[in-house]
Amino acid sequence: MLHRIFGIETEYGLLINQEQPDRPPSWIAHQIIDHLFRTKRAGVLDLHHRGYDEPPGNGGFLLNGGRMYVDMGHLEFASPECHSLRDLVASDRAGDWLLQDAIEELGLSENVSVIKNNIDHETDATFGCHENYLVSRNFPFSYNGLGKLIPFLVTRQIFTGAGRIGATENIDGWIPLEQLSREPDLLQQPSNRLTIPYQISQRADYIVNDFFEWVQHNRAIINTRDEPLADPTQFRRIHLLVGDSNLSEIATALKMGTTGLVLQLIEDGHAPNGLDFTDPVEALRQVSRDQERTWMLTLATGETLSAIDIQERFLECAQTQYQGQDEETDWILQEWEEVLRDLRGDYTTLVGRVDWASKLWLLETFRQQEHLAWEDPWLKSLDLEYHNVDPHKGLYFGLMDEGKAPCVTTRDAIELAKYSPPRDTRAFGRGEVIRYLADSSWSGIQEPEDEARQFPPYVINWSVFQVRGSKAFIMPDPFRSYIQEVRTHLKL
Amino acid sequence: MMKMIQETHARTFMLNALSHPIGLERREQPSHPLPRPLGPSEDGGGPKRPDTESAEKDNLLKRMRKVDPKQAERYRQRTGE
Repeated sequence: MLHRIFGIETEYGLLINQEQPDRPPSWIAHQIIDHLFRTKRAGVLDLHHRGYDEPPGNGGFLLNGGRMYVDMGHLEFASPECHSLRDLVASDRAGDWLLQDAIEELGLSENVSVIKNNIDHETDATFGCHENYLVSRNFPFSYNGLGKLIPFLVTRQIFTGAGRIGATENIDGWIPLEQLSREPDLLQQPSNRLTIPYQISQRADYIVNDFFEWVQHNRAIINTRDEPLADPTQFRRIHLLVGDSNLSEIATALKMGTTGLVLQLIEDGHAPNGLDFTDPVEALRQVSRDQERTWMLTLATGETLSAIDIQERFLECAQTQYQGQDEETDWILQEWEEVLRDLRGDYTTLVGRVDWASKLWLLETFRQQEHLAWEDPWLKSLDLEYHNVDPHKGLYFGLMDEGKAPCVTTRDAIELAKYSPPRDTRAFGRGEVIRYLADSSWSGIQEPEDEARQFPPYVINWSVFQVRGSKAFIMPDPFRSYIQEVRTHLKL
Repeated sequence: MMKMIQETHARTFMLNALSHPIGLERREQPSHPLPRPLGPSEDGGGPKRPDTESAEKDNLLKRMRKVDPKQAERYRQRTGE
């Protein structure tokens, strides 16, 4: 087990498959939230204003210690803090299952689908899958330190990308500020939708900076927002929004596991040198859009390396330093090595493990059978269906049914993660609070009275909670469960 | 201790009534590492190419043919983060 706390935040899309929908996706999203919290009592709703666009009742913390809420019209699940990849993958999929269950229980599954992707082909909208890694406050949060993560992130899409048909023409939210912007030369060519039939990343087209602190505009390879959600004197939270949502459990585990190891290399001063790009944003896009998938890149030194070569440099450093560190590390190192080796050969050997490869194989198979051109709208619909979390419809789950998609978790573990927190992080203590409140009369509150809005009976956040009549309870260390202290505090 | 057990049972009952599967608890530590992938690399000889010519492909094609060709046109989302 890596000595690291992991978390994933997923924004979902909602497909309403009607010619003239009665309601917008955001209305459906709020119905699902109400069902989860008021009917199923899978958690407790926030009764206070968490911030702009997050009024009371907009979402809340779940019994599993994570959060479900509506953010900018999207359902979003933030996993609880996890100390192992096994727990993280189970928690990530538990979020999918909670939403799919809700759709079915509300009788909406005929016309509504929960889509775990990051783009909308029609309007070029994008929405994220954010990764969170807890690091020490001593982490070298500088261009020289964190900058070593850039070449890794630019190239890891070769095994973490979810793939998509086409390209976006206009970067949403582009703000051309001096010094902060670059000309989106490729994206301004209207013919790109046709010249890029398929690319390996969903998010690459929307990343316009190397470092930046915003999350809705001028998205960067590394988000520099300093919001540790823990003791700020001890911890930082590395928050990444460059990655795609993954359906493949192997891809999710590898994405988080390899990134965790590279952060460890940086912390320990062992990250490889000399892999910087002159223009990392362009390199990111170049890798994603390379139709030959040779992924050749020119470094700032003038050296030419492939994305696989660059990944192998990181892998070799991690093997040298951390082989035998623990079983989870060894698992990551072995899977990482195998996937890089296989990327040098026929991409179809990666079906089931790498999302872009799985989707491309499905689309190519279908195209050949149905004699379709890449421009055919049916292929975009299949691209979307790959990400449908309904196991009876989603194309990824079709691969799983046919034994082509290996798993790293089990149905029992996912079922458990829907309502139970990991027991070795502070999510355990938080889950106890949620359970206590869900059992109490406060959980039946439908619409907070004015007084409750001003002085709500409880306020819960990632690192602190307060229940009316008692003092605030602070949980600054995500590695601690606080379970006994929380039970004492709540007089359980 | 007895009081704690009784209270635990009471809470278990209440939560079971709400269909919460708390009879199972998540492990504090994983008892074994992430499993080896069940598919391609089992024999240690490197991943095999998926059998793209088998009847399994037919099942996948059936699933794909059920997809509404126009559904992507209806998928219009707000930009998020």
